[in-house]
Amino acid sequence: MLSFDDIWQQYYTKLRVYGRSFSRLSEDDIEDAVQDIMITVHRRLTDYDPTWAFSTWIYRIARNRFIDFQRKNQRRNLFSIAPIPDFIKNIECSHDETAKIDRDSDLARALNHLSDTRREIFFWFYGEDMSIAEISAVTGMSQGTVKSHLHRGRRILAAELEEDYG
Amino acid sequence: MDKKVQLENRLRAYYRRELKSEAPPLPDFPAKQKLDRKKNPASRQSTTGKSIAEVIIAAAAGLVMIFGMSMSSSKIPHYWSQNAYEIMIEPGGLYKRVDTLMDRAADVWRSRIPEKE
Repeated sequence: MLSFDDIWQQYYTKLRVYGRSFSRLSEDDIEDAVQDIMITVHRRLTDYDPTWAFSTWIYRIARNRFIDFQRKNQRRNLFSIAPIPDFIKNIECSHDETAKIDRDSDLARALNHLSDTRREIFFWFYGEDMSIAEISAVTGMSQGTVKSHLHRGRRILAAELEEDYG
Repeated sequence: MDKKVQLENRLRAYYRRELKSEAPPLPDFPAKQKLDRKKNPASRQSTTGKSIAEVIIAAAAGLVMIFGMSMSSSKIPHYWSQNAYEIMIEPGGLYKRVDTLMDRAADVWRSRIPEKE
């Protein structure tokens, strides 16, 4: 069983990157939500059933919390413009990796054209190497729906990236 | 290479870099410290900085000391031991003690009112 400090080390950054799937959350909102998720995990660690994958358990908590935060934000910012996602700005700049960064920012821009749900699924599938079954357990969607989101998301990305390169 | 595979590789590399880009801070946010204290009640803090457990133990020790001293020493009047016994052992002892004090205060107050001739 993981200790809380291990969970913090292992999941803090993952949760922050995952939080960027939610288009209406700023970096500050994501930071607040991650702290909140960690408090919930700390409080409910004894309730965790080891028959489930730990990542499934923690991402279920995280998903609900991010959705709550987004809902609260929507009410608060009902008449304001949605914040621009910060993750494009946060890509580190170094002269050696300029080409790579350009490609990353193209991809980040293309990912912005996906819905929040698709971005979540993309993060879990490509960032976390989670299986379709695990993603289905976290989201409550059928495995067919998850596959379809992946397929359509890839088509949108390919179209956006081709457009960028002319 | 197949375009789909190319895109998939690019996505994996992108997320890998994103996940490496920031190191987690130390888990010492105030809410966690509060939760740690809740999980270990013996370390809960009172507003004076003493733990609540320490304050309770000190108060109980004080009562036991008064009780013990009054039983062993003739210099301390017997009613101190009686009071300590009532407060510690008897059900509703503290209430009885306050009640007795109120009666005594009423007697003193009555005795100070000059009687009508």
